[in-house]
Amino acid sequence: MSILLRIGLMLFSVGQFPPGQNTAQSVLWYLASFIVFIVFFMFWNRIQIRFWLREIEAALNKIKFMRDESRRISIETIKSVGKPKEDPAPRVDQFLEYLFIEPTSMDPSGIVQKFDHLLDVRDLRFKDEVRVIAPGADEAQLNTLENLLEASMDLNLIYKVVRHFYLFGKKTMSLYIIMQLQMIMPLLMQIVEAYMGAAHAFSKGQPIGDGAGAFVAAKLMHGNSFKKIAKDMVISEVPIDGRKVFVLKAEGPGGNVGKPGDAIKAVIDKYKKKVSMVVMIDAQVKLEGEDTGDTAEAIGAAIGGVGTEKYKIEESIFKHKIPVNAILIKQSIQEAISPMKKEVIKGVENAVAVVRRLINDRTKKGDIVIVAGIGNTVGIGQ
Amino acid sequence: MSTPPRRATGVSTLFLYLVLSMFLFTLSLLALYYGVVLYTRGQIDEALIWLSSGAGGMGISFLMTARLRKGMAPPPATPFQNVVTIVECSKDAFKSLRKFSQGDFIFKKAEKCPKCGQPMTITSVYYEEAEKKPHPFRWLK
Repeated sequence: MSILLRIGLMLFSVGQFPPGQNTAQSVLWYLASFIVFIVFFMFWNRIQIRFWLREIEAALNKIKFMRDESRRISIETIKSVGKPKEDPAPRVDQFLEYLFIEPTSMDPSGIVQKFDHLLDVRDLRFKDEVRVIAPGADEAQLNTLENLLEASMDLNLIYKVVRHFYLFGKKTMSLYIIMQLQMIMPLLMQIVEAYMGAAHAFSKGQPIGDGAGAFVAAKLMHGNSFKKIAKDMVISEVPIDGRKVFVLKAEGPGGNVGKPGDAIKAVIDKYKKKVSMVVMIDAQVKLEGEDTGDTAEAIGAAIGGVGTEKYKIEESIFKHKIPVNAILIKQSIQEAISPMKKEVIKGVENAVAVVRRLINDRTKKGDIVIVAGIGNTVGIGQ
Repeated sequence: MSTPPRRATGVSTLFLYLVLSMFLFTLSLLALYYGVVLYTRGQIDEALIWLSSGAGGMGISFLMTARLRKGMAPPPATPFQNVVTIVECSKDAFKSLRKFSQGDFIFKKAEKCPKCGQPMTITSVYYEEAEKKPHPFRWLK
């Protein structure tokens, strides 16, 4: 019998337990405690790293599952909507690997126009690509399919970046890389689940939370005639309490955000100082503790994205010193890109009432007002 | 598509986790036993130290196992099943709620009104969440 087994038996034999009956046992107990303490003291970092790696690995497998699931949903939707003659899987896989290279910011002058141009090129390229993959889809379906593929593309990118840092951290056993990854993992998982929700919504053409602003505009313009004003944007002239109100939104019901900057600029360029107010309605990421669907009023251009559209709007309103008001409909980042919740619908109804109140309070009869509903208009007509 | 993460070679973290958890559990069990023995001998102060150490160790061991199980939990099932469509008739204010079907969108002309026979309009499409547990920090609101 080995010496270790003898010591073990001596330490843990129930007959001789508890220790402290004789000096030898006490010494062995203190020695064992000391060894455990030293082992933990010296190797705790490595043990902790292994725990963290295990957690990251579990999360990474979940991300992989969701990435594969969104790819499957994309392919199935393309097959049912686009009626392709050949298997779309290889082209979808190629699409998921697309990257966007930002223009250099070393010389910031003119970067907005460069960004705008590249985004236009990207959009055109994506649409052409989707048209080839899904030849049977109409224009609205093409837009929604493009959004669906973009959600899958983002999931693929997140998976690859997390996997990169996981493998790199494991290779170098760097505490700092692994610790940072483990710490941001809950936030990343929320974003991944949100993208998964987006994939589900886009595959069925359901409105998403981000479409709250577009829904407000649609409610205001519903029943009135509308026409196209800029790329993927529609405008309707709506009489509200004696004012001439131009309501703008992206063209639905396909997945689209349009170019609200160009649309607002076109109206302001036409009516110049006659425009007495611009009201923008958009979804806003709420803070923890705030309720979904709550509305808040703000001053300034309420629009997200890269910033090119915001720049155009600010340039136009500043040129003619037009006041710009905003109404924000609060929701979490997950709610913004998942199917629209009932609470958001209540926020939309409230926002419509606020728009009417703002027009009444802050303009006179005969004034021209621009109301722009910002957001993805998937599942929302006009 | 690219390859999934490679499984760890050598002693797997899962195994290490299990061994540590079991080791802690055994030690805690012994500490509890020792505490009971000391208590029966009347050494109350020492017994309390051993009993509390044992209980603490047990708790940590259970937490470690629970954490492990959480990591192994399967990915969420298909979410957002309960999406509904509201259809309204502008003539007689008839309103109906039905399950969302592919092709529905807000302000689309939908089926005919069962009352007046005019085509109705979809006025809303939304996701209705199942009954939620009360927020744990609702007192902060």
